[in-house]
Amino acid sequence: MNPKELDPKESLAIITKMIHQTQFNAKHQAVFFLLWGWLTLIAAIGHYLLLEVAHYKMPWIVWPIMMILGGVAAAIIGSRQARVKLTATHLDRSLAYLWGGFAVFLLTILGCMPWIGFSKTYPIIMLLYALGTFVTGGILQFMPLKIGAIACWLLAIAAFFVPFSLQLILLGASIIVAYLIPGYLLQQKQ
Amino acid sequence: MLKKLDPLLHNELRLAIMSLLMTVDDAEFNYLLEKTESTRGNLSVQIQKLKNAGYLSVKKTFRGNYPLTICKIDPLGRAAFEEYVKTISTYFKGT
Repeated sequence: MNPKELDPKESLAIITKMIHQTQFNAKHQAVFFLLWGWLTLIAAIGHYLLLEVAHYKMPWIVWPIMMILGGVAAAIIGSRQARVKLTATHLDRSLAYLWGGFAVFLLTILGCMPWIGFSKTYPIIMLLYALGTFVTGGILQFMPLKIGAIACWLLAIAAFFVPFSLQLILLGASIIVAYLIPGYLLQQKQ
Repeated sequence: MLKKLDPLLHNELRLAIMSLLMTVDDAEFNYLLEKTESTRGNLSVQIQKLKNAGYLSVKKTFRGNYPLTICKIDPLGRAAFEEYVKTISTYFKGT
């Protein structure tokens, strides 16, 4: 760009062009939905199989394994994305606050599980998954996330009224509708 | 009588820098370089002018072993940009 005298039309054209240059890359979010979606789905199915088929004493053991793996992978992916990212937008900050708060809520619920009761914990966690997905859908203005979140909420309500082992199946289903399907659709988004 | 446009913003490159910074929390020097299609030298000079006017702040840091310059619009710059856009709109109303 060379210095020159601008007229108001040219000024407006520059402003418009530059504002359109800054586009939030929603695809970066898709990888986190897919990562946590697959790990949670594997954990839910693993828990169900260890409980109902293998009759293992500690069927829940798959959860800490998957969550630690997820935490390490998310940290690596996040730091790689940060290295190549040249800007920080309001959307980045909003999403970071949302999912940071989500993590604190989730850990609190898991820590209080013995007092809340095992039968209520998973449906509450499903409600939380739906909330995170719904708000993200609103921030990114991406309809499949909003629809997935609503489906997840319905599954969470149903989960309050079924036995624990069936809750695990509903949890798996909620992950497919709220994380995996919207995650793949988000990845394909232009 | 049409109001005079802020001379600091009424420049192609400086206006482009401020427009980009209005849409983000902060941006790296290389991002501004890529989007404005300017030269390093010219961009540095114009950023310095905007910084001296209190329109933006510049943070110099490192990423690994490489220097990193991050620019962020300041409240004074935001207000000046909004005023500039308002003034421009009066020019169009006048035509």
